[in-house]
Amino acid sequence: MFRLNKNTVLILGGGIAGIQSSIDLANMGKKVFLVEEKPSIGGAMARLDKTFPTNDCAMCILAPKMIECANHDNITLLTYSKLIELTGHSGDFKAKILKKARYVDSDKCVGCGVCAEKCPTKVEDSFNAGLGTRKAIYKYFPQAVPSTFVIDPDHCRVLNGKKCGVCEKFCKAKAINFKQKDEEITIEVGAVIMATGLDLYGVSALKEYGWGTIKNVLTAMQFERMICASGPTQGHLKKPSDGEEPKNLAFIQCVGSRDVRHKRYCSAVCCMHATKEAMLAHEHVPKLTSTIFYMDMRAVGKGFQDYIQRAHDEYAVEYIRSRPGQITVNEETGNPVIHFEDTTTRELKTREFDMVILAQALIPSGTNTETADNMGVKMDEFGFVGAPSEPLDPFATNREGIFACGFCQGPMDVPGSVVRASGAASRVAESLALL
Amino acid sequence: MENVAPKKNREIDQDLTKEIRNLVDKNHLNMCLECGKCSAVCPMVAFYGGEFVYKRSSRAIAEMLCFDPAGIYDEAIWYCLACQECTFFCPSGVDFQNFMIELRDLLISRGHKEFAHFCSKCGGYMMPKHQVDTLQKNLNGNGDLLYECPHCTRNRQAEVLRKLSPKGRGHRFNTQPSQNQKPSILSMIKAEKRAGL
Amino acid sequence: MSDGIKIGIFICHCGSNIGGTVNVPEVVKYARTLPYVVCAEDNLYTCSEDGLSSIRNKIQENHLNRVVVASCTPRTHEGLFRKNCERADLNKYLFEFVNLREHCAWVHMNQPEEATAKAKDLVRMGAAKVALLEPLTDLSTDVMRACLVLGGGVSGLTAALALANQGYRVELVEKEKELGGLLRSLNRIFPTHQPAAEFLAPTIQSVMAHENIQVHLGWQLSEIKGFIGNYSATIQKGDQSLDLEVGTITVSTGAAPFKPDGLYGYGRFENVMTQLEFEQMSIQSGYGGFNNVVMINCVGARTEERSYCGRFGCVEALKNAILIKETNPEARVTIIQRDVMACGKIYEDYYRIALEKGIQFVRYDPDQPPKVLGSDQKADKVSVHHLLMGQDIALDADLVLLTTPLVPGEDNVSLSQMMRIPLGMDGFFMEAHQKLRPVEFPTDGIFVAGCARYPGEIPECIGQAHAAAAKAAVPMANGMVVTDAYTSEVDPTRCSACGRCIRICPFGAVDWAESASPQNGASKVAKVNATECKGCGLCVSSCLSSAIRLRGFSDGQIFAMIDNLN
Repeated sequence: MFRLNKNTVLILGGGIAGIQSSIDLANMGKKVFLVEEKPSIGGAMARLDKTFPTNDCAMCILAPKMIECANHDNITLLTYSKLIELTGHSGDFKAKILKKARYVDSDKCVGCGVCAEKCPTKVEDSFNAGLGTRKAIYKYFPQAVPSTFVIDPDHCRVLNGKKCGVCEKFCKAKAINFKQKDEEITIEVGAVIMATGLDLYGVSALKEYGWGTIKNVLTAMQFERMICASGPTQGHLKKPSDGEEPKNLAFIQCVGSRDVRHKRYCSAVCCMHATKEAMLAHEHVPKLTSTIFYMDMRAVGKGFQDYIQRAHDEYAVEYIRSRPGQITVNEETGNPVIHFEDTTTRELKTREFDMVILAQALIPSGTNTETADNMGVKMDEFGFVGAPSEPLDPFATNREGIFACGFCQGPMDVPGSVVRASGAASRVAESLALL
Repeated sequence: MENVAPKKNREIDQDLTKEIRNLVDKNHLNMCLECGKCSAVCPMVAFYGGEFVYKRSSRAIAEMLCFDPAGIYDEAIWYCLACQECTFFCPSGVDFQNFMIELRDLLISRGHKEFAHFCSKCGGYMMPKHQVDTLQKNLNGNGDLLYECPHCTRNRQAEVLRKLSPKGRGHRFNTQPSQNQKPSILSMIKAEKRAGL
Repeated sequence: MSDGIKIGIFICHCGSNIGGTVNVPEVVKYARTLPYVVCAEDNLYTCSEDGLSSIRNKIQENHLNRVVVASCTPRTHEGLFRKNCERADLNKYLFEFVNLREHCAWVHMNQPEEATAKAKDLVRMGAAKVALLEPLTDLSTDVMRACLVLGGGVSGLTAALALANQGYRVELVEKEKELGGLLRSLNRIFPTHQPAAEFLAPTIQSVMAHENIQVHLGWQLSEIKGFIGNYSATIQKGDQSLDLEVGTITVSTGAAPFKPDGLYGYGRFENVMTQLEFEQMSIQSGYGGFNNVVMINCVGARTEERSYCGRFGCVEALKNAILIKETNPEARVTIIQRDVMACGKIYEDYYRIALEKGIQFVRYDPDQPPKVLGSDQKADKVSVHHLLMGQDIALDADLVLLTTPLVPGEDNVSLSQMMRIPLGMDGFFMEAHQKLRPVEFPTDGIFVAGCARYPGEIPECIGQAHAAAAKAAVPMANGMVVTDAYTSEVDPTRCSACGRCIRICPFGAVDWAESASPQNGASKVAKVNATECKGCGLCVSSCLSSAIRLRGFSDGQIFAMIDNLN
């Protein structure tokens, strides 16, 4: 049990919002516990190649913040952990946190990676959106913080009663510990911030677009991982059907978003990220052209309109106002064919593309529901954490002392999340000062 | 850019406008964002292509009704198969299929029947007139089927079966077309296939 | 240099990042041969606890007084290694970082031999420099626990309350005679449709009544002196003048409404007005009395002249359309638009409500804008080419509303010069980093919130105000700021008072100071404020008199590196 004074804050979610909130509060002198369910902090931003509208390398601007978080005297990172219960009231909460066993001793592991090289078990890599594989013992991504490896209990041979132990044999630091157990800790905090972030909607539900059946149809996240230098193809664009470089790309917006059959809300960032991906693709393959099928080009932020114009003028990006009906396959080439009505010319067209990228809907993080339920926090029908008195108090939830920031409140981009994260920190500081 | 307004051949009366407005509200035509997905999945658009798209697709009809209700007298609205593809895929929740069925019922009830083709037996609406020509070519002269709606065909066949049953007893089939029945081309073609024709 | 220099060199494999290309053991062996080097070793991950403790042990065993770590980029671990030296009782500025990863292994991945040779060069240069480093101390500056909030609109009011509630003194300066800013002109707020006054009145009351907030109505900022922690602001009202002492500043001066003179009949027809003007009108006369309302979006926005999007114009139009339609369901309301920017969850649902109520949307091409027609100072028709229907339509209109963007405030330029904070090409204040530092400026201690930065709707402005409050609270909570010792210093005996360094500094850290001994007839010289200085070195390279020296990167140190290049 960590018995601390009222100047302690629990932050749930280690994405950019959670990280920013932690740093702000820690800099103000508060003690912060940052709980993240994945083996590393970083969130969705860690999976991006570049970020709009500056086209900064995502990891380059995120990593220093992750390290600042890890090294800060006032922040305790609890990764690979989740909240199981929250009792009490504002100023006096008791949080039960489950620290899942990594089966690797974090004090000993130096992150050298020999274990993963030797491990015989290959698993589909969820960080890379299903493109490529990882091993049963793995580091979530190369720049993971903490850099400790973790063993996947669902796939490890030893943990499933089979013979192996290769990692243990080769680990020079003697860090492998198959006997490690999950640990439950209780901490007392004065306030809680929810920053549980986002997840990706399963676009296989939109059968008309053929994701999962047509090889060269990918989701935007899969494309991000592919174009990222630290991703499964080392940043080379390759058509899944034959490994060749694509010469043209199509982006379909609002796949699952703005759709009463799936998610009727707008995911807010897809218009910009599709444009970004088209620009990056053009940089990687200079003669490549892109076509973006959209309904409304929602580029409302600072510098966003100029970004769209630049993409159109300098990066061979074509914008067609249309929501395609379906995607079929050209049997000969294996390429996807899009059937659509160009609403500005009122012509029905079919066009073949080397690759089609679907801008999938973004949904609140899958475990958001569980976490919110464990805290008694109300969510709306989509799983977003409700802010009952918006616009007056954009951080409040229905429970006093529990605040929310970032995507878990509603679709927003990185600057929006960072602003809200700092704002939530200020609200927490205010509420702790008033206790 | 070209001006492609539909032909306006008569003024529309206030009462009819109000009824159409009701249908528009009821079937959520208001929600249309003109995204074009319906046109892209419509089998009639695929079949006719070109001109058909901007004059007769679901989207075009919805727009037309917002700005020029007199457009309902255009032949365009009688082409719809009511196959439901558009309704199924519409991301905004527009029930275009039901709207077309109800709109055509409304027009028929007001006597605007010049584009419609009716069952010679019971007088129920069967299909648009232009379809008769198209289907006639494909049915190799078995044109009799085009003049009797599926309901009447079933009744005729039921009579035969009743006469053939052992003790002359058998179901008394309902000979009146039900109010809720909405025959469509597809169901008619399926009925024919089933009957082995 | 003195004979007592004892250098320890620690070369990192960085997993296989460096070790995979550079032959690290060979470089270690070479390092041992360098002058003053007492020990050299390699580590797999120098930043790990193992690596750090090994360095500390070596410092103590060998009485090292200089340390070189040759590993990744100082951006990630310079702080860590410096702190590590401190733990071993070695001044943290007697440490030099050599980048063998980004500057060597990663860019020469296919040339291991050349990379190893280059690594040796880099280590030799690093050792040469470290020998010339001097012990330095960080500068600690007191920070006054008070904040100057410029502008009393929704952003300023929110920031003021957020800071005051945390116990800081706030000086809220508003140039108008009333608080509230643009919100005073609004009737109802979207999407809840609550009256703006319902939100504004209690907020203003809280601010006025708060013991920590001093409100200055009708005053304007005329001068700012000082730096983070110690600002002296002079405000003026008529011929009165007042000095305020504060530690931090929040700029929340908002933006101005755009007047679309000459566009779409504005100014010519009396029933053509902006959305904001309609709002103001509706406070008195309500939303009724119109049968055919036509709204035109993107007026003066997303054009050649003003490329940005007003951000909330679409939602503002939706709001007025819904309120008009709710008041008079028979009214015909049409919004002529280019894209409907109803992003996210709440606004998309709001858009659907507008559609359900029968509000019609007509998409237009900016190359074929709508035309507002009328006679006798009254507009009665709007004609537009409906882009998606492919035909011209004519709409009856008894009210035409133009959706316009907010434009930069008239005081932005003077404020920018006064406080030396940058403006973007669009005329709004330019934040330090668009993604990760949206409410900060490169100059420490000054923050921005609300429409002064870029048009934003109320929740966004409130969010930014709280964020700015959080950032301002950090130095104020600690009561001090500690700055890195790598700052520059002007030698007043060499300064020719040309002012180049003052103009070139992006952080506003160099300013004029009285000269103790006037040289060349100059009574003032340049002086660097070490608290604000970030050690970027621009002033050093701009100085034609070689009067400025950057600690940690002195000429002597850099020439030593250059001399040791071959």
